[in-house]
Amino acid sequence: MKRVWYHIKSFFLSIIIKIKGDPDEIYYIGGSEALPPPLSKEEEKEMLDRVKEGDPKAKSKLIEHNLRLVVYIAKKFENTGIHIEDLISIGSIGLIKAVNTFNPEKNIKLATYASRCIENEILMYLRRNNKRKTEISFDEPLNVDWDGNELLLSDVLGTDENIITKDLDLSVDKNLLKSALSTLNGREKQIMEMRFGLSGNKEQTQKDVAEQLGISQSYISRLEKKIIRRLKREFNKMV
Amino acid sequence: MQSKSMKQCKICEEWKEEGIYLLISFICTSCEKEMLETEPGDEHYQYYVERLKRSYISNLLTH
Repeated sequence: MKRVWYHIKSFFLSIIIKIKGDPDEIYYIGGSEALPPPLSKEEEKEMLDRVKEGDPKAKSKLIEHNLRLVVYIAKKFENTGIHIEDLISIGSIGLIKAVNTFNPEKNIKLATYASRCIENEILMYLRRNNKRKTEISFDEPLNVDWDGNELLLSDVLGTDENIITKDLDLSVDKNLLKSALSTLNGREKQIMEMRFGLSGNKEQTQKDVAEQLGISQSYISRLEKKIIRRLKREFNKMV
Repeated sequence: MQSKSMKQCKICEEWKEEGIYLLISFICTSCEKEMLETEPGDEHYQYYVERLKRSYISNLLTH
């Protein structure tokens, strides 16, 4: 059935081409097998020379006679989830770019260069497409209630209330603590710094601090509680 | 009235004289230039892909 439909379509296309005329510009296409064959080396050289002179017909011919490459390469990417028609369109853009940027003076065949351009174009498209797949719109509906109201992603997204003031509060608290610590005597200050790593050192256990200062752990514990009560009082005075 | 040498571009649908053919689809020079400067991921890229598809090149090629 597909084949019959294809023949009908081909027939109508051939009529369209006949009506439009201009056999220099248009070719009859009977299917992928009948795509214009690759040009001979001499023909290709002649077309490239004409392209240099700005002949658009020569450019068209170079593009059309390399379309088989586009189809061949596009088919290699059929399993990527992108429709073959898109792949061929993308590949065609790659081929147009190739013909426009090809430098015949470089020791490389047009077909080789075009293949790279077509493949690159498709690969670049796939990469961009994959990147986009991971993006999600704020207006993405997550759910719809009985009344048809959509719950959007933006409805459930938010920031913590204190996200802006958090850092500011922290820096104010640090300054307050510094002021409160300055009211302590040398040993008390040292104990707090060692226990809570206040001067950039690592926090230490009561046992470690006690050993280093040559006093008992229970005494450190009592001192710590007393110092914290004092610091609280100083804090409350300041705020 | 369009002159005989004018052809309708399959991309911009305007009637232009100069351009290239992709089989039976005419693409005007300015659309061709724009297409050359567009990369996958650009805002306009998908537009060209869709227009090329619509110009039934792919239909001819895939059957």
